[in-house]
Amino acid sequence: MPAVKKEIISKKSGYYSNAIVSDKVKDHANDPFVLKKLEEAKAFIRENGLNGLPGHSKK
Amino acid sequence: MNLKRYPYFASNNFQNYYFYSNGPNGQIKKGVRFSKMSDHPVMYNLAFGDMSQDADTIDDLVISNNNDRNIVLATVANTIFDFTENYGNHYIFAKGSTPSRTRLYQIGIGAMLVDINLDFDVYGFKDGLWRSFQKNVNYTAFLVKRK
Repeated sequence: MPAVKKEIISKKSGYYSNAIVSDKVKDHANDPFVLKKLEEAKAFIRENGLNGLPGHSKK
Repeated sequence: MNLKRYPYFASNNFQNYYFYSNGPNGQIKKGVRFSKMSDHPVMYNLAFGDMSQDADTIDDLVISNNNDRNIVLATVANTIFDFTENYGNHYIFAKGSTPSRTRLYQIGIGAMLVDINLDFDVYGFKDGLWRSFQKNVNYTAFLVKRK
């Protein structure tokens, strides 16, 4: 598939993006760095929780 | 949030992105990957860094010093916009690999906060709580949610 430019416009801010969508963009799901960051992120939330976010009580 | 940014490429599933930083150290390929990290609430981790030339993998321990931090961060913010357009208004988690890298993210977010806040709620983690992001406050991690 050839690269396709996809434009998205925000109704709130008028902000637009214009990503060029291409099947030549590699999937990095299994990059060691990506997996390490994912595990660290999960551990951070497990350890610290979501207190303070909307719908989550404060300590 | 129409800040200056680099053109960027997205994979067909909008979970992977790359673009090129241009500066005194030349053209440096940068990559972004969104990975689901929880279902309740739905939350995705944002992994961002330079792309190694040999393996074409992302690594954020490299310091490229290309004098374009705000353009790079604005481009990453754009990828969040594209990602949430396709996956919904869920939390996006971000944390640097080192405290100094996290601080760089914090400074960049602070510099663009007025623009970012038009479309996103931004939270920082400090002293055991998630708080609405304020400039010039040090946080250890960030959550972003599209409004």
